[in-house]
Amino acid sequence: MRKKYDDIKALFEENDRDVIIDTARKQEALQSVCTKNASMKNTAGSRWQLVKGQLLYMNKNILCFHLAACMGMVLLVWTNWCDIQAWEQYSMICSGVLGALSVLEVGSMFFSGMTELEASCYFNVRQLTAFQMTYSGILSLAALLLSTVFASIRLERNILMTGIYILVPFVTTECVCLAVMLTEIGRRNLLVLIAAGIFSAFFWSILASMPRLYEASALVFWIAALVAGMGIFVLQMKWFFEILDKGEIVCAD
Amino acid sequence: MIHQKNRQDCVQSAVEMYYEDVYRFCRYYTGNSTDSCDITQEVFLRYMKYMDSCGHKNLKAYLMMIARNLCCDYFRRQSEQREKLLSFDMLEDTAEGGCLGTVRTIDNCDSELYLQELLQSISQEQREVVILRIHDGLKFHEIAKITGCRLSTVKSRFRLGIASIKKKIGGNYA
Amino acid sequence: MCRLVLTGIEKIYKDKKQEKKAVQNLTVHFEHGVYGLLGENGAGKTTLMRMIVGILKPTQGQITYDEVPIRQLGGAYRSLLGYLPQDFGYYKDFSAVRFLNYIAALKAIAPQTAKERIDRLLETVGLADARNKKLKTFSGGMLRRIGIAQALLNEPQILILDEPTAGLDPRERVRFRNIISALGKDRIVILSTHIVSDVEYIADQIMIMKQGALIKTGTQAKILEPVAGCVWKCSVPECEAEALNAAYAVSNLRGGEHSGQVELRIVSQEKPHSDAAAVEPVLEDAYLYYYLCERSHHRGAWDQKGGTI
Repeated sequence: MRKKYDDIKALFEENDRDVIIDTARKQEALQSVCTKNASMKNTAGSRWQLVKGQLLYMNKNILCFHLAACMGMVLLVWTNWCDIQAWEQYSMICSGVLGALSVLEVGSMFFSGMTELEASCYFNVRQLTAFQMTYSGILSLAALLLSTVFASIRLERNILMTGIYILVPFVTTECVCLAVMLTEIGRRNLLVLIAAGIFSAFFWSILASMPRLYEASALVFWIAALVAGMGIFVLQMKWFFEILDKGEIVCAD
Repeated sequence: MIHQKNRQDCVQSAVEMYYEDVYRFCRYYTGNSTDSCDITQEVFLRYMKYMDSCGHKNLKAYLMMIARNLCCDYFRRQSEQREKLLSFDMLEDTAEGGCLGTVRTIDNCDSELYLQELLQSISQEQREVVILRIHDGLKFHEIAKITGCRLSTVKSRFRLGIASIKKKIGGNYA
Repeated sequence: MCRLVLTGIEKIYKDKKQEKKAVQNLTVHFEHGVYGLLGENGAGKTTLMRMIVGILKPTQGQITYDEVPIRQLGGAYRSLLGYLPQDFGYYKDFSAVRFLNYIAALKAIAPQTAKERIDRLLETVGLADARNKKLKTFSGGMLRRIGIAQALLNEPQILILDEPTAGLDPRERVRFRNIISALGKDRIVILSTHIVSDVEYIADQIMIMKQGALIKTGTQAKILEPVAGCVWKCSVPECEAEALNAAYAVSNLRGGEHSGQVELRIVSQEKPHSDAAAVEPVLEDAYLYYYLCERSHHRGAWDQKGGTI
C-alpha cells in the first residue's frame, strides 16, 4: 500500500546511503564505554549473599508456623499417628492450612505497613512477593509431595490419585485466601485472612468425610477442580502483580 | 547485579548493532553531525551506567528513548545559551533565517541540506515524530511511549509535520 | 550532575464515576540542592513524591533521571533513592539494627558495607545507644531518626522525605534540619511539609503546591520579591482586631505590648489600617500571599478588593 509519505521516506533512504558514519568516533564511543565500565564500582553483594541477608533479617513469624505445619503434615502420615481411614480428612485440612499459610506469608507484608518503604528499595514489593511466593510454594509443595508418597504407600493407592486429593484443597484454599487478600479489608486485617483460611480448611474437612467423593467416577470432578483452581490462581497472581505495578495497593493510606 | 564483563559485552554488542540508527536519528533531529556524535556516545554511556540486566525487551526503542531525551536536553541548553547571549546583546549569534539557530556543520551535500532544511522548518515536537515514524519505522504507540505524550497528540503532530513538509516539497515544484 | 525532570505529570483518580485530579500537569526539574515542597494537607505533595519514587504510576507524563525514564531504569533508579514516607510502617518486634539490616538487604547492599554504614548512621542520628532496642519502644522522634537512617543507607543521589518533621518537638526539628542541610550539597533532596519554618533555613529552592498544581517555584529571594510591600504590621485594640482578621489575610496575631492591644501581621496589597507599617516579608507571608492569589485568580476578587479575602 502506497503511503502518503513515500516521497519523504525516499529522501531519508537517499540520505542514509550518503551519510558516512565516522568510524573513528564510533571507536571512541566504544572506548569511552569500556573506560566507564572499568570505573564502575560494584557495591552490591553476590546474589547468594543478598538472598542470605534477606532470609536472615526478614520477618519470620509466619514462616515458623508454616514450617511447623509442613513438618506436622509429613509426620502425621509417617508415624502412623492417625487411623489411615481418617487420613483423608486430616490431610485435606493440613493441605488447606498450608495453602492459607502460603498466602499469609505475602499478606504479612501488608499488615506491617512497610510496603511503601519496601517499594522504594532495589528489591521492591513485586520482587519480594515473587520471592516469598516461591519459597513458601516450594516448602508447601515439598511437604505435600512427601505426604503423598508416604500416604500412597500406606494406602496402597495410586500416587497420582492421592496427589490430586491433596493438591485440590491446597489450591482452592490459596485461591480463597488470595481473593480475600486482594480486598482492602483483607490486607489491613490479619484476622479476616486467617478466618478465610480456617473456613476453607473446615469446608474441606466436611467434604472429605463423604465417601462418594473417592469413587472413580468422581475423579473427573477432582481433576476439573484442580485445573480450574490452578487457572484461577494464575489469573489472580497476574492481577495482583498488575495492581502492584499501579502502586496504590502499596501506599499506607 | 551485573558482572563487569557481562556489562561490557552487552554494551559492545549494542554499539555494534545500533550505533548507526541512533546517530542518524540524532543527526536528523539536531541537524548537527558533530554534536550528534557526542550525543550518540552519551546514549551508550547511559545505557551502560543504568544497565541492570542485559537484554531489554526492545533495546532499540530504549536507546531511541534515551537519544530523544538527550537531544531535547541539547536543545534546552542551546536555547539557554542563546538567551544568555541575547541578554548580552550578542545578536549576531541568534536565529538565522527560519531555522532554530543551531550551528550547522553539515557535509556539503545538496540532498542532505534539502532534507535538513525540511526537517528544521517544522517544530521540534513534529520533527521527532516524523523521524521516528518514517525513518525508524516505529509504531505510533511506541512513539507515544518514547515522547511521553498521548497517542492522539503523537498522531496529530505527525499529520501536521507531514503536511508542512509536503507543502514545502510541493512549493518547490510550483 | 544528573537532572531529575518531570514533564506534564498528572495523576487522576477515578472514584465512583467522579474524577479527582491529585496532581495536574506538573513540569519541574531538580538538580542538586534542597527543595522544599510546601502545601496544605491534600495539596498533592505525597502523591507527587510517590510518583517521583516510582511507587505510583502517573496517569500522564514522564519522569526522567539523567535523561532516562525512571520506569525503564527500574532497580537502577531505586538504588539511587532514599525515601522516608509520611506514614512509616515497621515490624514492631524488630530491633533498630535488625530493621536497618533488613532494609540494607532490600537495597542490595553487601553485608560488610551494610555493617559499616549502619554503625556510622546510628551515630549520625544519635541512636547508637538504642541499637538493640525494639522499635515498638521508640518515641516518635526516634522513629523519624531511624527513618532518616534507613533512607541514607544506600548513600542515595535522590533523597525524598515526606513530612519528615511531623510530630517532632522543636529540638528534634533543629537536629533534623542540621542533618538535612549538610546532605543537600551533592544530592537532590526533596522535602515536603506544611510547616514553613522547616524549610525556611535549609531549602535552596521552594515550591508551593496547591490542589495538585505548582503555583510558585524559585529561590527564597525570588519567592519573596513580589510580596515586598504587601506585608504590614499594626497594633490595634482588641475590638478592631476581629474586624481586621475577618477582612484581611492575617499571617500572625498575638497580644500587643500594652493590655487590650493586639499585634497583627497582615498580607495585603493595600494598607489595611492607618497605623500599619510595612515590614520585610518572610516565607510564611509569601506562602499566604500565593495561596490567596491563586484563590482569587479564580474568583477575580484579589485586585478588586485590594487584597482582602
